[in-house]
Amino acid sequence: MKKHIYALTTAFWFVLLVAVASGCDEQVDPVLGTDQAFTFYGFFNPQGDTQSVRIYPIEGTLERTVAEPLDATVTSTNKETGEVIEWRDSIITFRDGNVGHVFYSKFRADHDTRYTLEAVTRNGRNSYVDIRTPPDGEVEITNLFSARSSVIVEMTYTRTPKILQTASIYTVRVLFPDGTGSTTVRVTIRSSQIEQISDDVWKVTIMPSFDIGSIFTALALRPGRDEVFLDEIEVRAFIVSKEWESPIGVFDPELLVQPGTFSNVENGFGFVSGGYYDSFSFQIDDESARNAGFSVE
Amino acid sequence: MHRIAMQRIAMKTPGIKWLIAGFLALSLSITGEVALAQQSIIRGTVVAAIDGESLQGVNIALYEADSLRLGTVSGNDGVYALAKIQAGTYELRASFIGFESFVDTLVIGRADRIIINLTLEIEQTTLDELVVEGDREAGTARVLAGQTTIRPADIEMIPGPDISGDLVNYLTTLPGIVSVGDRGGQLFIRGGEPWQNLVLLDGMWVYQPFHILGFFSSFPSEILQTVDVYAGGYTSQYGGRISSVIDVKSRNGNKKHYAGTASATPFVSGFTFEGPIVDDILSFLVSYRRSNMEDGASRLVDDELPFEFGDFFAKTHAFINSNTQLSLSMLRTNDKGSVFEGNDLEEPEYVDWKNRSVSTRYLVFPRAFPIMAEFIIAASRLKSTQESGLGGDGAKSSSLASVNTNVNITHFKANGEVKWGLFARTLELQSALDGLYQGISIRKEYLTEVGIYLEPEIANFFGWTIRGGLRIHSFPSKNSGFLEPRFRAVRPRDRDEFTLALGSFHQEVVGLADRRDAAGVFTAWASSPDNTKVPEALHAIAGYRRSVTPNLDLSIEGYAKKLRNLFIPEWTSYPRFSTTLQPAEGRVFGGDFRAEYRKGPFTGLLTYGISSVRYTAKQDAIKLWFGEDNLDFRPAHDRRHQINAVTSFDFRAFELNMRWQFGSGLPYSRALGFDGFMVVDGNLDVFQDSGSRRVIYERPYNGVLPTYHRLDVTIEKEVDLSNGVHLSALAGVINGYDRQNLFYLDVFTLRRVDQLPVIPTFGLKLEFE
Repeated sequence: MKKHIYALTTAFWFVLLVAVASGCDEQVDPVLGTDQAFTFYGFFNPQGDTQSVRIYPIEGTLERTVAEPLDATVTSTNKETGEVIEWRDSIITFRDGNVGHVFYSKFRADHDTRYTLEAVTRNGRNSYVDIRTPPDGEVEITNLFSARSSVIVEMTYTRTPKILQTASIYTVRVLFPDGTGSTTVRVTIRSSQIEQISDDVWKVTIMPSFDIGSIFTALALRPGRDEVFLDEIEVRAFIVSKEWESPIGVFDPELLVQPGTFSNVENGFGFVSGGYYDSFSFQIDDESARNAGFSVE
Repeated sequence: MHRIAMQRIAMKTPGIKWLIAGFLALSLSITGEVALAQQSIIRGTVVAAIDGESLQGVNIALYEADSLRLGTVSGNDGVYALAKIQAGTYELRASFIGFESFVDTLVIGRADRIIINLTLEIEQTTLDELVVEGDREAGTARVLAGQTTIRPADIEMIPGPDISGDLVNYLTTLPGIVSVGDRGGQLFIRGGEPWQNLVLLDGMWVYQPFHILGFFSSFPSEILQTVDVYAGGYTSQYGGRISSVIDVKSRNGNKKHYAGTASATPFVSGFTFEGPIVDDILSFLVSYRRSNMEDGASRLVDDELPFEFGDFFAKTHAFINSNTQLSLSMLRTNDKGSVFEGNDLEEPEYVDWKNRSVSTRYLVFPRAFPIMAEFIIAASRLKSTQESGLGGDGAKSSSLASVNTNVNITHFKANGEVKWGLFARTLELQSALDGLYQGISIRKEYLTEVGIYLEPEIANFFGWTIRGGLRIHSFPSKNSGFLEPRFRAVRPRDRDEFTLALGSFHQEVVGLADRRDAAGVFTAWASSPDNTKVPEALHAIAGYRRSVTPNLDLSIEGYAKKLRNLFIPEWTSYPRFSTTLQPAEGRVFGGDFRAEYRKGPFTGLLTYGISSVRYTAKQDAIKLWFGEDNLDFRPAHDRRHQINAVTSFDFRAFELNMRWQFGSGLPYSRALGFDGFMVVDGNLDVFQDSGSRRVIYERPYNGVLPTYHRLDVTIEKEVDLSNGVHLSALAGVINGYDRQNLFYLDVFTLRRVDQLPVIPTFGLKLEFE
């Protein structure tokens, strides 16, 4: 009798459990979805004839982008004049085989002008960003220090919200080893110092006496044996709008990858701003060139 | 000058001074013990006459004129001791359920050191019930401050795909032990991670003891003598791990006659073979299993189950003389398979690992001293590899090899015992990780661990049996050392029992694994990163057990753990595994409820566990990303609720076993969507830069996966064929109502990998003896 009770009890509980449990088939949805529509990356260049921005749709799956038109109407609006320009989608296949959408438009953006870039889907979801292009700044050499083995050139940029980075391009002449001729080479060095002096005023300092070591290394030449003649120094500064600043001071992709960490897009992610490359070329006198370690004819 | 300098360096190493002081204290203690030991002691081992296997839990008592003078219970290896006996005439009685009692009259002198080895005959009338009712010192509800003792009979009642039981199936019925599913071989015990568990087999460290298919481990029930599971608060004898200890002792093999089994199921086939080499003195035991997944289980579910595994165990054991035992054990395991099947962005991952372990164990009752001494020398090695894609590049590997030497001494006293010991371990850690984990490419390191422990036990201290301990653990190669106090107390009162445990634990060797979800398998072993503190844990456990009736036991236990100096992978929005580590702290709170009912042919178990695991991540970027200094979250192995209900019923020579298990969902990180990322610095060229795909995550581990539950049912029948030959047949079903339990969710592709569907199982086992 007791054995029957045990059997029935056991059977009862398990039937109950099965009845309860088998009715619960839970789905899981690991992607919650968002109303945010797009992610933008790029900048308006007041000194370029074509404006371009990379646009990613914010999607519910992680799949490789396919070479099909993006559901997005992209426009830019000049807030000063009210002009609206529609951009076109160019579907780019990159070297690594990935496909991306780069929207572009052939027009020159104005300096110190507010723009709104907006992307809208067919069903009305949109993302937009307001930017202001930097003004057309000015640059001049404000100090040249020249002593044996120490040559320092200071340049002051005015009407400049921010300088993101600079590059010094040295145009030099190198004699052939057999002395029959020479060749002109451009060597790019990224070693200048950038310092903000005041609002919209920046100082860039280059040291040709320091950079010459890198030039010899880049050209595989030997100081003291080979001669390098300096023709010209060009300083290219990337001048940008004030808001173009990493929250951590450096552009570390491992930190900035987190969405929203470095973002100015409304109802979306990414960063769009304004910037242009300013090129300033100059020559230094023979004595300074000699002090910096260059050869002088 | 050189010698003085070396001495000064040695004395500066933390823990060395404590080691020396502790050793001196022990020496004095032993000397004192010898000086005072003018009273007699009886020691010995208890074995079963039928096969020569040692018996634990035997009641042994000394009576004088029918009055009980001393009593004890045989422990591991069947060892017992009765100490501080005055000279006189006594009756020694040994009794154990299912065996005929032993009685002998002794005349004991002054300072006698007597060795009496007992052999108990099976009580014929209860032969068939021996396995079911033989021992109540074990059982699911008999938990003592985190310690559960498991016997093979307990395992046999858990339904599983193999006709022979496996330890892991029983372990997962215990509350607080979380398995992520039917594959991967990872167990999380009371909030700890798999690399924090210490698993021993006859003193050998087994670094990855659970097979890739979660129903199997390195421990088939047929080789087991007893298993002590410490879910926390373990004694001073154990160290080097901060979560749990699973101490497995194997049988010695039949010393009377040859016996063996051969079994086959769709999942695994195997055999055991044992017997005497010299009757009553020297025996052997061999066990071998190999998976049949491709030709067996895969065909039943019509799905590829890419798992291969196997294990081999061999042991010889000898009673060298009346007071000395020697055993040699060896274990080999191998596992291979695919846990992650890949997606558009990542290759499938194939893992394999091999354990190789060997140990020598020498047990002696020195005639001159009232002690038992155990000497263990063991060597263990684990080699793991992970490859992406079939034969692809970028294979990662990690190996861990160690030689462990342990000396464990037990002083027997009238009101308890004193345990102490020495240990030394050398480890070799090698990794070839192709830049994974803090940029580690190829790394080889050697570690040394030495230490000493002392653990006196005081019985009947205001009704409590108290075991206080101190472990001194030094890592000379890392110039660090730790004092680890331990405390365990039990208060038995008639039908009630109160238990308490506290302890401090450290772990120098850490396991680094992908824990985006709890399904990650590959573990790289390394010493704790340079310039960081070693992982540390504090445990506190309190429990209560009551024997409501002779057939019903209930127990309840609460526990708390504080975890410090952990390392977890940093978070990233890149759709890949971040291998840079961040520091973290953790805390665990939980409680277990267990009920066990045994009467006649019926056994029922009901367990419920509730726990809360919280980690606090301290990645530098957290302040930037979330606006908080640290981030609290539930890690991927935090299973809040667990229920197990098991019944076993014998009727008409059939054994019906059923198990229903339930687990609440595990945390995971949900995404809001997916986009791309580009570094917008002065070098941006949108026509040239490809960018990277990115996951827009919600707050980490904010989501909860579905609940998990499953019903397993097996029915087994044993038939006697002829002289000592039995045939057992098993039929059953795993996941009886075909629950779609999630094993792995690829948040990038939304692809889910489920655990095994409903799968029938069947098997045959032939036994002879």
